[in-house]
Amino acid sequence: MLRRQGKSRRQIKEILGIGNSTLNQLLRGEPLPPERAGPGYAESRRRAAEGVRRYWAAEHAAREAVRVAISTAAAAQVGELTDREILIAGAVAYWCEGAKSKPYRVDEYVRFINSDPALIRLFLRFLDKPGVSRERVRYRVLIHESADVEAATRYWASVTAAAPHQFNRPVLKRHTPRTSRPDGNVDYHGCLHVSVVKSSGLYRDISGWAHGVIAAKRSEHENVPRT
Amino acid sequence: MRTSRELDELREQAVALRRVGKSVDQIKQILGPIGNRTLHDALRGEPPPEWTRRPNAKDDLRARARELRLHGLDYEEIVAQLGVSKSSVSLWVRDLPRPQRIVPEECAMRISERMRRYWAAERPVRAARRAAASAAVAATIGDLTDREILIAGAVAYWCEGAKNKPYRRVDRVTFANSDPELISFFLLFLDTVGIPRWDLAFQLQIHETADVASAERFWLVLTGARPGQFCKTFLKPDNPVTTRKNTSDTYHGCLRVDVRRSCELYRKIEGWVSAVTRVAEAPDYMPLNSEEVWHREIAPGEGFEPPLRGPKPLVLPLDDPGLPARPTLPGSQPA
Repeated sequence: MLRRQGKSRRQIKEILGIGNSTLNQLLRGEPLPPERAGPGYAESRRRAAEGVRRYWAAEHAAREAVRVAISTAAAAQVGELTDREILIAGAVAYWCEGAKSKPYRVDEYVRFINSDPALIRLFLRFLDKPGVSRERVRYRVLIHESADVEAATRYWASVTAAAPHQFNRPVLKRHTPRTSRPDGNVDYHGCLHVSVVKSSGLYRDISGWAHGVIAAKRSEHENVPRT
Repeated sequence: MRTSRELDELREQAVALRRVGKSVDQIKQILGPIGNRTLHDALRGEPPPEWTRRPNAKDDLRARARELRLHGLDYEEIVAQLGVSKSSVSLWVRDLPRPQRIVPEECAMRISERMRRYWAAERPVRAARRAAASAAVAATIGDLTDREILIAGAVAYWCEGAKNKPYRRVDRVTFANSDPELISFFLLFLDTVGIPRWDLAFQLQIHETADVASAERFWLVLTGARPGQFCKTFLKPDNPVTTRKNTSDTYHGCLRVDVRRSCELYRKIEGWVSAVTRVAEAPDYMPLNSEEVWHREIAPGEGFEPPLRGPKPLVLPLDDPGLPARPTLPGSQPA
Protein backbone atom coordinates (compact mmCIF):
# COMPACT_ATOMS: atom_id res chain seq x y z
CA MET A 1 0.00 0.00 0.00
CA LEU A 2 2.86 2.29 0.86
CA ARG A 3 4.47 1.37 -2.44
CA ARG A 4 1.27 2.39 -4.21
CA GLN A 5 1.51 5.71 -2.43
CA GLY A 6 4.85 6.18 -4.21
CA LYS A 7 7.14 5.51 -1.23
CA SER A 8 10.62 4.16 -1.89
CA ARG A 9 11.85 0.85 -0.46
CA ARG A 10 13.93 2.57 2.14
CA GLN A 11 11.01 4.60 3.35
CA ILE A 12 8.80 1.53 3.57
CA LYS A 13 11.43 -0.31 5.57
CA GLU A 14 11.76 2.55 8.02
CA ILE A 15 8.03 2.90 8.45
CA LEU A 16 7.36 -0.79 8.95
CA GLY A 17 10.65 -1.68 10.62
CA ILE A 18 11.19 -4.75 8.44
CA GLY A 19 14.17 -6.16 6.57
CA ASN A 20 14.97 -6.41 2.91
CA SER A 21 13.94 -10.01 2.45
CA THR A 22 10.61 -9.57 4.18
CA LEU A 23 9.93 -6.58 2.03
CA ASN A 24 10.79 -8.54 -1.10
CA GLN A 25 8.26 -11.15 -0.13
CA LEU A 26 5.60 -8.57 0.51
CA LEU A 27 6.18 -6.73 -2.74
CA ARG A 28 6.28 -9.82 -4.91
CA GLY A 29 3.88 -9.36 -7.79
CA GLU A 30 3.52 -5.59 -7.26
CA PRO A 31 4.27 -3.49 -10.32
CA LEU A 32 7.63 -1.68 -10.36
CA PRO A 33 7.72 1.91 -9.14
CA PRO A 34 7.23 4.46 -11.88
CA GLU A 35 10.89 5.55 -12.04
CA ARG A 36 11.97 1.96 -12.88
CA ALA A 37 9.02 0.99 -14.97
CA GLY A 38 9.71 3.10 -18.08
CA PRO A 39 11.84 2.12 -21.08
CA GLY A 40 14.59 4.57 -20.06
CA TYR A 41 15.52 2.48 -17.05
CA ALA A 42 15.96 -0.73 -19.03
CA GLU A 43 18.02 1.18 -21.57
CA SER A 44 20.36 2.59 -18.95
CA ARG A 45 20.85 -0.86 -17.43
CA ARG A 46 21.68 -2.28 -20.82
CA ARG A 47 24.21 0.47 -21.46
CA ALA A 48 25.85 0.01 -18.11
CA ALA A 49 26.19 -3.74 -18.75
CA GLU A 50 27.63 -3.04 -22.17
CA GLY A 51 30.17 -0.63 -20.68
CA VAL A 52 31.28 -3.19 -18.13
CA ARG A 53 31.60 -5.84 -20.82
CA ARG A 54 33.73 -3.56 -22.97
CA TYR A 55 35.89 -2.58 -20.04
CA TRP A 56 36.64 -6.16 -19.18
CA ALA A 57 37.19 -7.18 -22.80
CA ALA A 58 40.15 -4.81 -22.84
CA GLU A 59 41.18 -5.13 -19.24
CA HIS A 60 41.05 -8.90 -19.09
CA ALA A 61 43.54 -9.27 -21.92
CA ALA A 62 45.84 -6.67 -20.36
CA ARG A 63 45.74 -8.33 -16.95
CA GLU A 64 46.24 -11.74 -18.47
CA ALA A 65 49.31 -10.42 -20.26
CA VAL A 66 50.75 -9.11 -16.99
CA ARG A 67 50.06 -12.41 -15.34
CA VAL A 68 51.68 -14.42 -18.10
CA ALA A 69 54.64 -12.03 -18.18
CA ILE A 70 55.33 -12.61 -14.49
CA SER A 71 55.09 -16.39 -14.89
CA THR A 72 57.24 -16.43 -17.99
CA ALA A 73 59.91 -14.28 -16.38
CA ALA A 74 59.93 -16.60 -13.36
CA ALA A 75 60.21 -19.65 -15.61
CA ALA A 76 63.08 -18.07 -17.51
CA GLN A 77 64.80 -17.32 -14.23
CA VAL A 78 64.89 -21.03 -13.40
CA GLY A 79 65.87 -22.19 -16.88
CA GLU A 80 67.45 -25.62 -17.23
CA LEU A 81 67.66 -28.00 -14.30
CA THR A 82 70.70 -30.00 -13.31
CA ASP A 83 70.44 -33.66 -12.38
CA ARG A 84 70.64 -32.79 -8.71
CA GLU A 85 67.82 -30.30 -9.06
CA ILE A 86 65.61 -32.85 -10.81
CA LEU A 87 66.35 -35.24 -7.99
CA ILE A 88 65.38 -32.62 -5.41
CA ALA A 89 62.21 -31.67 -7.25
CA GLY A 90 61.14 -35.28 -7.71
CA ALA A 91 61.83 -36.27 -4.12
CA VAL A 92 59.85 -33.29 -2.80
CA ALA A 93 56.99 -34.07 -5.18
CA TYR A 94 57.02 -37.66 -3.95
CA TRP A 95 57.01 -36.58 -0.34
CA CYS A 96 53.98 -34.42 -0.99
CA GLU A 97 51.95 -36.69 -3.25
CA GLY A 98 53.39 -40.18 -2.86
CA ALA A 99 52.53 -42.93 -0.42
CA LYS A 100 54.48 -42.75 2.81
CA SER A 101 55.11 -45.33 5.47
CA LYS A 102 53.17 -44.54 8.64
CA PRO A 103 53.76 -45.63 12.23
CA TYR A 104 50.47 -47.51 12.08
CA ARG A 105 51.18 -48.96 8.63
CA VAL A 106 54.82 -49.61 7.86
CA ASP A 107 54.83 -50.05 4.13
CA GLU A 108 57.77 -49.12 1.97
CA TYR A 109 56.54 -49.20 -1.56
CA VAL A 110 56.83 -46.42 -4.12
CA ARG A 111 53.39 -45.19 -5.18
CA PHE A 112 52.67 -41.78 -6.62
CA ILE A 113 49.12 -40.65 -7.34
CA ASN A 114 48.14 -37.46 -9.09
CA SER A 115 45.69 -35.97 -11.52
CA ASP A 116 48.18 -33.41 -12.86
CA PRO A 117 49.91 -34.78 -15.97
CA ALA A 118 52.86 -32.41 -15.51
CA LEU A 119 53.57 -33.78 -12.04
CA ILE A 120 53.19 -37.36 -13.27
CA ARG A 121 55.72 -36.75 -15.99
CA LEU A 122 58.06 -34.97 -13.62
CA PHE A 123 57.92 -37.97 -11.34
CA LEU A 124 58.65 -40.37 -14.20
CA ARG A 125 61.57 -38.21 -15.28
CA PHE A 126 62.80 -38.24 -11.71
CA LEU A 127 62.65 -42.05 -11.69
CA ASP A 128 65.22 -42.07 -14.49
CA LYS A 129 67.76 -40.48 -12.15
CA PRO A 130 68.14 -43.43 -9.77
CA GLY A 131 68.05 -45.62 -12.87
CA VAL A 132 64.63 -47.17 -12.45
CA SER A 133 63.74 -48.95 -15.65
CA ARG A 134 60.35 -48.10 -17.06
CA GLU A 135 59.66 -51.81 -17.15
CA ARG A 136 59.35 -51.72 -13.39
CA VAL A 137 56.63 -49.07 -13.45
CA ARG A 138 52.94 -49.97 -13.32
CA TYR A 139 50.00 -47.66 -13.85
CA ARG A 140 46.43 -47.68 -12.72
CA VAL A 141 43.69 -45.21 -13.55
CA LEU A 142 41.49 -44.12 -10.66
CA ILE A 143 38.36 -42.51 -11.95
CA HIS A 144 34.67 -41.94 -11.38
CA GLU A 145 32.56 -44.67 -12.87
CA SER A 146 30.49 -42.11 -14.73
CA ALA A 147 33.51 -40.87 -16.71
CA ASP A 148 34.90 -42.32 -19.91
CA VAL A 149 37.36 -44.88 -18.53
CA GLU A 150 38.66 -45.99 -21.89
CA ALA A 151 39.42 -42.46 -23.04
CA ALA A 152 41.08 -41.65 -19.72
CA THR A 153 43.31 -44.71 -20.01
CA ARG A 154 44.31 -43.64 -23.51
CA TYR A 155 44.98 -40.15 -22.23
CA TRP A 156 47.29 -41.36 -19.46
CA ALA A 157 48.99 -43.73 -21.85
CA SER A 158 49.84 -40.76 -24.02
CA VAL A 159 51.06 -38.79 -21.01
CA THR A 160 53.30 -41.55 -19.73
CA ALA A 161 54.22 -43.17 -23.04
CA ALA A 162 53.53 -46.49 -21.36
CA ALA A 163 52.68 -49.76 -23.04
CA PRO A 164 49.16 -51.13 -22.53
CA HIS A 165 50.36 -54.10 -20.53
CA GLN A 166 51.72 -51.74 -17.87
CA PHE A 167 48.20 -50.61 -17.01
CA ASN A 168 46.52 -52.50 -14.24
CA ARG A 169 42.78 -52.77 -13.92
CA PRO A 170 41.32 -49.30 -13.31
CA VAL A 171 39.68 -48.44 -10.01
CA LEU A 172 36.21 -47.02 -10.43
CA LYS A 173 34.87 -44.66 -7.83
CA ARG A 174 31.21 -44.99 -7.21
CA HIS A 175 29.49 -41.88 -8.47
CA THR A 176 27.45 -40.10 -5.84
CA PRO A 177 25.47 -37.41 -7.62
CA ARG A 178 24.81 -35.69 -4.31
CA THR A 179 28.13 -33.90 -4.49
CA SER A 180 28.47 -31.23 -7.11
CA ARG A 181 31.71 -31.88 -8.92
CA PRO A 182 33.16 -29.06 -10.96
CA ASP A 183 35.62 -31.64 -12.30
CA GLY A 184 32.90 -33.26 -14.35
CA ASN A 185 34.09 -31.48 -17.47
CA VAL A 186 35.93 -32.71 -20.52
CA ASP A 187 39.29 -32.15 -18.85
CA TYR A 188 38.58 -34.76 -16.24
CA HIS A 189 40.80 -37.79 -16.68
CA GLY A 190 40.76 -39.09 -13.14
CA CYS A 191 43.95 -39.79 -11.23
CA LEU A 192 46.89 -41.87 -12.26
CA HIS A 193 48.42 -44.27 -9.76
CA VAL A 194 52.08 -44.88 -10.59
CA SER A 195 53.78 -47.67 -8.71
CA VAL A 196 57.21 -49.22 -8.96
CA VAL A 197 57.61 -52.92 -8.39
CA LYS A 198 60.31 -54.13 -5.99
CA SER A 199 60.78 -50.64 -4.68
CA SER A 200 61.51 -50.78 -0.96
CA GLY A 201 65.13 -49.77 -1.56
CA LEU A 202 64.00 -46.96 -3.82
CA TYR A 203 61.48 -45.88 -1.20
CA ARG A 204 64.25 -45.51 1.38
CA ASP A 205 66.33 -43.51 -1.08
CA ILE A 206 63.44 -41.19 -1.89
CA SER A 207 62.59 -40.76 1.75
CA GLY A 208 66.23 -39.94 2.43
CA TRP A 209 66.43 -37.35 -0.34
CA ALA A 210 63.13 -35.79 0.67
CA HIS A 211 64.16 -35.53 4.30
CA GLY A 212 67.54 -34.22 3.22
CA VAL A 213 65.79 -31.46 1.29
CA ILE A 214 63.06 -30.42 3.66
CA ALA A 215 65.31 -30.50 6.70
CA ALA A 216 68.18 -28.77 4.88
CA LYS A 217 69.71 -25.47 5.82
CA ARG A 218 70.32 -22.65 3.42
CA SER A 219 73.78 -22.78 2.02
CA GLU A 220 75.88 -19.83 3.09
CA HIS A 221 78.40 -20.05 0.29
CA GLU A 222 76.53 -19.67 -2.91
CA ASN A 223 74.40 -16.62 -3.34
CA VAL A 224 71.83 -16.68 -6.02
CA PRO A 225 70.16 -13.31 -6.54
CA ARG A 226 66.99 -13.05 -4.53
CA THR A 227 63.75 -12.64 -6.29
CA MET B 1 115.81 -96.90 27.03
CA ARG B 2 114.57 -97.74 30.52
CA THR B 3 116.24 -100.46 32.56
CA SER B 4 114.11 -103.41 33.57
CA ARG B 5 114.20 -102.18 37.11
CA GLU B 6 112.78 -98.83 36.14
CA LEU B 7 110.10 -100.60 34.16
CA ASP B 8 109.16 -102.67 37.21
CA GLU B 9 108.80 -99.53 39.28
CA LEU B 10 106.67 -97.98 36.61
CA ARG B 11 104.42 -101.02 36.50
CA GLU B 12 103.98 -101.03 40.26
CA GLN B 13 103.06 -97.35 40.24
CA ALA B 14 100.59 -97.92 37.44
CA VAL B 15 98.90 -100.76 39.25
CA ALA B 16 98.72 -98.66 42.40
CA LEU B 17 97.13 -95.81 40.53
CA ARG B 18 94.70 -98.22 38.89
CA ARG B 19 93.64 -99.51 42.23
CA VAL B 20 92.83 -96.05 43.55
CA GLY B 21 90.48 -95.67 40.60
CA LYS B 22 92.42 -93.78 37.93
CA SER B 23 91.67 -94.25 34.27
CA VAL B 24 94.32 -95.13 31.70
CA ASP B 25 94.47 -91.57 30.48
CA GLN B 26 94.94 -90.22 33.97
CA ILE B 27 97.71 -92.75 34.72
CA LYS B 28 99.50 -91.69 31.55
CA GLN B 29 99.34 -88.08 32.55
CA ILE B 30 100.67 -88.77 36.04
CA LEU B 31 103.50 -91.10 35.06
CA GLY B 32 104.73 -89.21 32.09
CA PRO B 33 105.79 -90.86 28.86
CA ILE B 34 104.81 -94.48 28.87
CA GLY B 35 103.80 -96.58 25.93
CA ASN B 36 100.35 -98.09 25.55
CA ARG B 37 101.75 -101.52 25.33
CA THR B 38 103.85 -101.23 28.51
CA LEU B 39 100.92 -99.85 30.40
CA HIS B 40 98.46 -102.44 29.18
CA ASP B 41 100.92 -105.25 30.01
CA ALA B 42 101.30 -103.86 33.48
CA LEU B 43 97.58 -103.49 34.07
CA ARG B 44 96.63 -106.87 32.72
CA GLY B 45 94.41 -108.61 35.25
CA GLU B 46 93.53 -105.42 37.09
CA PRO B 47 89.80 -104.70 36.65
CA PRO B 48 89.06 -101.14 35.50
CA PRO B 49 87.22 -98.94 37.99
CA GLU B 50 83.49 -98.84 37.48
CA TRP B 51 83.25 -95.16 36.61
CA THR B 52 85.39 -95.50 33.49
CA ARG B 53 82.86 -97.78 31.85
CA ARG B 54 80.20 -95.09 31.24
CA PRO B 55 82.00 -91.86 31.99
CA ASN B 56 79.43 -89.50 30.44
CA ALA B 57 76.22 -91.28 31.32
CA LYS B 58 73.42 -89.02 32.57
CA ASP B 59 71.21 -91.65 34.06
CA ASP B 60 69.48 -89.28 36.41
CA LEU B 61 68.71 -86.82 33.65
CA ARG B 62 67.52 -89.66 31.48
CA ALA B 63 65.12 -90.80 34.18
CA ARG B 64 63.88 -87.23 34.65
CA ALA B 65 63.37 -86.86 30.91
CA ARG B 66 61.30 -90.01 30.72
CA GLU B 67 59.25 -88.86 33.64
CA LEU B 68 58.60 -85.47 32.00
CA ARG B 69 57.74 -87.14 28.74
CA LEU B 70 55.14 -89.25 30.49
CA HIS B 71 53.65 -86.01 31.76
CA GLY B 72 53.06 -84.99 28.18
CA LEU B 73 55.87 -82.50 27.58
CA ASP B 74 57.37 -82.21 24.12
CA TYR B 75 61.05 -82.43 23.27
CA GLU B 76 61.57 -78.68 23.25
CA GLU B 77 60.15 -78.32 26.74
CA ILE B 78 62.25 -81.17 28.12
CA VAL B 79 65.34 -79.62 26.55
CA ALA B 80 64.49 -76.30 28.14
CA GLN B 81 64.04 -77.89 31.59
CA LEU B 82 67.02 -80.21 31.68
CA GLY B 83 69.57 -78.39 29.58
CA VAL B 84 70.50 -81.44 27.52
CA SER B 85 70.53 -81.73 23.80
CA LYS B 86 67.41 -82.51 21.85
CA SER B 87 68.97 -85.56 20.25
CA SER B 88 69.69 -87.03 23.68
CA VAL B 89 66.10 -86.51 24.70
CA SER B 90 65.02 -88.18 21.52
CA LEU B 91 67.20 -91.22 22.23
CA TRP B 92 65.94 -91.50 25.77
CA VAL B 93 62.20 -91.15 25.29
CA ARG B 94 61.42 -92.31 21.78
CA ASP B 95 60.04 -95.62 22.99
CA LEU B 96 57.43 -93.93 25.17
CA PRO B 97 53.95 -93.29 23.80
CA ARG B 98 53.57 -89.88 22.11
CA PRO B 99 51.67 -87.41 24.23
CA GLN B 100 48.22 -86.33 23.11
CA ARG B 101 48.41 -83.80 20.31
CA ILE B 102 47.61 -80.25 21.33
CA VAL B 103 44.34 -78.78 20.10
CA PRO B 104 44.56 -76.48 17.07
CA GLU B 105 43.55 -73.44 19.11
CA GLU B 106 46.42 -74.03 21.49
CA CYS B 107 48.71 -74.55 18.54
CA ALA B 108 47.61 -71.30 16.89
CA MET B 109 48.00 -69.48 20.17
CA ARG B 110 51.55 -70.70 20.58
CA ILE B 111 52.42 -69.73 17.04
CA SER B 112 51.00 -66.27 17.41
CA GLU B 113 52.78 -65.87 20.70
CA ARG B 114 56.07 -66.82 19.11
CA MET B 115 55.41 -64.48 16.20
CA ARG B 116 54.63 -61.70 18.59
CA ARG B 117 57.84 -62.26 20.50
CA TYR B 118 59.82 -62.48 17.27
CA TRP B 119 58.47 -59.23 15.90
CA ALA B 120 58.73 -57.42 19.20
CA ALA B 121 62.47 -57.98 18.94
CA GLU B 122 62.78 -57.74 15.17
CA ARG B 123 60.66 -54.66 14.46
CA PRO B 124 62.88 -52.09 16.16
CA VAL B 125 65.95 -53.66 14.58
CA ARG B 126 64.52 -53.36 11.12
CA ALA B 127 63.13 -49.89 11.75
CA ALA B 128 66.59 -48.78 12.83
CA ARG B 129 68.13 -50.32 9.73
CA ARG B 130 65.63 -48.55 7.50
CA ALA B 131 66.12 -45.26 9.27
CA ALA B 132 69.88 -45.61 8.96
CA ALA B 133 69.58 -46.27 5.24
CA SER B 134 67.42 -43.18 4.75
CA ALA B 135 69.62 -41.04 6.95
CA ALA B 136 72.69 -42.00 4.96
CA VAL B 137 70.94 -40.95 1.77
CA ALA B 138 69.69 -37.75 3.38
CA ALA B 139 73.24 -36.81 4.29
CA THR B 140 74.18 -36.81 0.61
CA ILE B 141 71.88 -33.82 0.00
CA GLY B 142 73.69 -31.38 2.26
CA ASP B 143 72.89 -27.67 2.32
CA LEU B 144 70.69 -26.19 -0.37
CA THR B 145 71.42 -23.16 -2.48
CA ASP B 146 68.76 -20.50 -2.79
CA ARG B 147 67.97 -21.73 -6.26
CA GLU B 148 67.44 -25.28 -5.02
CA ILE B 149 65.19 -24.07 -2.22
CA LEU B 150 63.22 -22.13 -4.79
CA ILE B 151 62.77 -25.19 -6.99
CA ALA B 152 61.91 -27.54 -4.14
CA GLY B 153 59.55 -25.03 -2.52
CA ALA B 154 57.74 -24.35 -5.77
CA VAL B 155 57.24 -28.08 -6.36
CA ALA B 156 56.03 -28.53 -2.79
CA TYR B 157 53.61 -25.66 -3.32
CA TRP B 158 52.35 -27.17 -6.54
CA CYS B 159 51.66 -30.40 -4.71
CA GLU B 160 50.17 -29.10 -1.47
CA GLY B 161 49.18 -25.50 -2.12
CA ALA B 162 46.01 -23.96 -3.47
CA LYS B 163 45.99 -23.69 -7.24
CA ASN B 164 43.83 -21.89 -9.73
CA LYS B 165 41.25 -24.06 -11.42
CA PRO B 166 39.47 -23.57 -14.73
CA TYR B 167 36.40 -22.75 -12.68
CA ARG B 168 38.07 -20.69 -9.96
CA ARG B 169 40.91 -18.26 -10.25
CA VAL B 170 42.24 -16.61 -7.12
CA ASP B 171 46.01 -16.16 -7.59
CA ARG B 172 46.73 -16.38 -3.90
CA VAL B 173 49.38 -18.36 -2.04
CA THR B 174 47.82 -20.77 0.44
CA PHE B 175 49.67 -23.83 1.66
CA ALA B 176 48.24 -26.44 3.99
CA ASN B 177 49.97 -29.44 5.48
CA SER B 178 50.11 -31.63 8.54
CA ASP B 179 53.81 -32.45 8.23
CA PRO B 180 55.76 -30.07 10.50
CA GLU B 181 58.94 -30.57 8.48
CA LEU B 182 57.21 -29.61 5.28
CA ILE B 183 55.67 -26.53 6.89
CA SER B 184 59.09 -25.48 8.16
CA PHE B 185 60.52 -25.99 4.74
CA PHE B 186 57.78 -23.90 3.16
CA LEU B 187 58.55 -21.10 5.60
CA LEU B 188 62.21 -21.37 4.62
CA PHE B 189 61.12 -21.10 1.00
CA LEU B 190 59.10 -17.96 1.78
CA ASP B 191 62.12 -16.49 3.55
CA THR B 192 64.25 -17.28 0.55
CA VAL B 193 61.94 -15.57 -1.91
CA GLY B 194 61.79 -12.54 0.38
CA ILE B 195 58.37 -12.74 1.99
CA PRO B 196 58.46 -11.12 5.44
CA ARG B 197 57.08 -13.29 8.21
CA TRP B 198 54.55 -10.67 9.23
CA ASP B 199 52.78 -11.14 5.91
CA LEU B 200 51.78 -14.64 6.92
CA ALA B 201 48.52 -15.73 8.48
CA PHE B 202 48.02 -19.18 9.94
CA GLN B 203 45.05 -21.32 10.68
CA LEU B 204 45.02 -24.61 12.50
CA GLN B 205 42.56 -27.17 11.20
CA ILE B 206 42.08 -30.07 13.56
CA HIS B 207 39.66 -32.74 14.65
CA GLU B 208 37.56 -31.63 17.56
CA THR B 209 38.44 -34.77 19.51
CA ALA B 210 42.18 -33.99 19.44
CA ASP B 211 44.08 -31.98 22.00
CA VAL B 212 43.48 -28.61 20.39
CA ALA B 213 45.30 -26.43 22.90
CA SER B 214 48.53 -28.37 22.75
CA ALA B 215 48.36 -28.49 18.96
CA GLU B 216 47.98 -24.72 18.91
CA ARG B 217 51.06 -24.38 21.09
CA PHE B 218 52.92 -26.84 18.90
CA TRP B 219 52.40 -24.83 15.72
CA LEU B 220 52.99 -21.54 17.47
CA VAL B 221 56.40 -22.76 18.56
CA LEU B 222 57.18 -24.36 15.21
CA THR B 223 56.34 -21.30 13.13
CA GLY B 224 57.70 -18.78 15.63
CA ALA B 225 54.73 -16.58 14.77
CA ARG B 226 52.89 -14.20 17.05
CA PRO B 227 49.59 -15.53 18.42
CA GLY B 228 47.82 -12.73 16.57
CA GLN B 229 48.84 -14.26 13.27
CA PHE B 230 46.76 -17.31 14.00
CA CYS B 231 43.14 -17.18 12.91
CA LYS B 232 40.47 -18.94 14.84
CA THR B 233 41.14 -22.67 14.86
CA PHE B 234 38.89 -24.67 12.60
CA LEU B 235 37.44 -27.70 14.35
CA LYS B 236 36.47 -30.61 12.19
CA PRO B 237 33.37 -32.39 13.50
CA ASP B 238 34.17 -35.94 14.41
CA ASN B 239 32.60 -38.59 12.22
CA PRO B 240 32.03 -41.62 14.43
CA VAL B 241 31.69 -43.92 11.42
CA THR B 242 35.22 -43.58 10.08
CA THR B 243 38.10 -45.13 11.93
CA ARG B 244 40.95 -42.69 11.95
CA LYS B 245 44.43 -44.04 12.47
CA ASN B 246 46.26 -40.75 12.72
CA THR B 247 45.29 -40.20 16.33
CA SER B 248 48.54 -40.67 18.22
CA ASP B 249 50.23 -37.83 20.08
CA THR B 250 52.09 -36.97 16.89
CA TYR B 251 48.80 -35.74 15.43
CA HIS B 252 48.72 -31.96 15.48
CA GLY B 253 46.15 -31.32 12.79
CA CYS B 254 46.83 -29.39 9.61
CA LEU B 255 48.33 -25.95 9.41
CA ARG B 256 47.18 -23.58 6.72
CA VAL B 257 49.61 -20.84 5.75
CA ASP B 258 48.23 -17.85 3.91
CA VAL B 259 50.48 -15.22 2.39
CA ARG B 260 48.97 -11.77 2.24
CA ARG B 261 49.24 -9.73 -0.97
CA SER B 262 50.57 -12.83 -2.69
CA CYS B 263 49.17 -12.45 -6.18
CA GLU B 264 52.59 -11.83 -7.68
CA LEU B 265 54.22 -14.64 -5.71
CA TYR B 266 51.54 -17.04 -6.90
CA ARG B 267 52.27 -16.19 -10.50
CA LYS B 268 55.98 -16.58 -9.95
CA ILE B 269 55.48 -19.99 -8.37
CA GLU B 270 53.45 -20.94 -11.39
CA GLY B 271 56.39 -19.93 -13.58
CA TRP B 272 58.99 -21.76 -11.49
CA VAL B 273 56.92 -24.91 -11.52
CA SER B 274 56.42 -24.73 -15.25
CA ALA B 275 60.19 -24.48 -15.65
CA VAL B 276 60.64 -27.54 -13.45
CA THR B 277 58.02 -29.66 -15.16
CA ARG B 278 59.44 -28.64 -18.51
CA VAL B 279 62.35 -31.04 -17.94
CA ALA B 280 59.88 -33.84 -18.47
CA GLU B 281 58.84 -32.34 -21.79
CA ALA B 282 62.33 -32.29 -23.27
CA PRO B 283 62.48 -33.90 -26.73
CA ASP B 284 64.72 -36.73 -25.58
CA TYR B 285 62.05 -37.67 -23.12
CA MET B 286 59.26 -38.25 -25.62
CA PRO B 287 60.53 -41.57 -26.87
CA LEU B 288 57.65 -42.98 -28.78
CA ASN B 289 54.39 -42.23 -30.34
CA SER B 290 52.13 -43.60 -27.70
CA GLU B 291 49.12 -43.78 -29.99
CA GLU B 292 51.08 -46.24 -32.08
CA VAL B 293 52.07 -48.26 -29.05
CA TRP B 294 48.54 -48.33 -27.83
CA HIS B 295 47.22 -49.89 -30.99
CA ARG B 296 50.07 -52.33 -31.45
CA GLU B 297 49.08 -55.96 -31.24
CA ILE B 298 50.46 -57.58 -28.13
CA ALA B 299 52.51 -60.57 -29.12
CA PRO B 300 51.87 -63.80 -27.22
CA GLY B 301 54.11 -63.93 -24.20
CA GLU B 302 54.38 -60.16 -23.99
CA GLY B 303 52.70 -58.34 -21.21
CA PHE B 304 50.64 -60.27 -18.73
CA GLU B 305 49.33 -62.69 -21.27
CA PRO B 306 50.73 -66.21 -20.87
CA PRO B 307 52.70 -67.54 -23.84
CA LEU B 308 50.72 -69.56 -26.31
CA ARG B 309 51.21 -73.28 -25.95
CA GLY B 310 50.34 -74.83 -29.22
CA PRO B 311 51.11 -78.44 -30.07
CA LYS B 312 54.78 -78.93 -30.83
CA PRO B 313 55.48 -79.63 -34.47
CA LEU B 314 56.57 -83.19 -34.87
CA VAL B 315 58.56 -82.62 -38.00
CA LEU B 316 60.25 -79.34 -38.70
CA PRO B 317 59.51 -78.16 -42.21
CA LEU B 318 62.91 -78.10 -43.82
CA ASP B 319 63.45 -75.89 -46.79
CA ASP B 320 59.83 -75.85 -47.73
CA PRO B 321 59.75 -73.61 -50.81
CA GLY B 322 56.24 -72.61 -49.87
CA LEU B 323 57.37 -70.95 -46.62
CA PRO B 324 58.75 -67.44 -46.61
CA ALA B 325 62.43 -67.13 -45.82
CA ARG B 326 63.16 -66.89 -42.12
CA PRO B 327 64.22 -63.45 -41.03
CA THR B 328 67.81 -63.48 -39.83
CA LEU B 329 68.29 -61.97 -36.43
CA PRO B 330 70.73 -59.09 -36.32
CA GLY B 331 74.11 -60.38 -35.25
CA SER B 332 73.47 -63.99 -36.17
CA GLN B 333 75.34 -65.50 -39.09
CA PRO B 334 73.19 -66.61 -41.97
CA ALA B 335 73.61 -70.31 -42.60
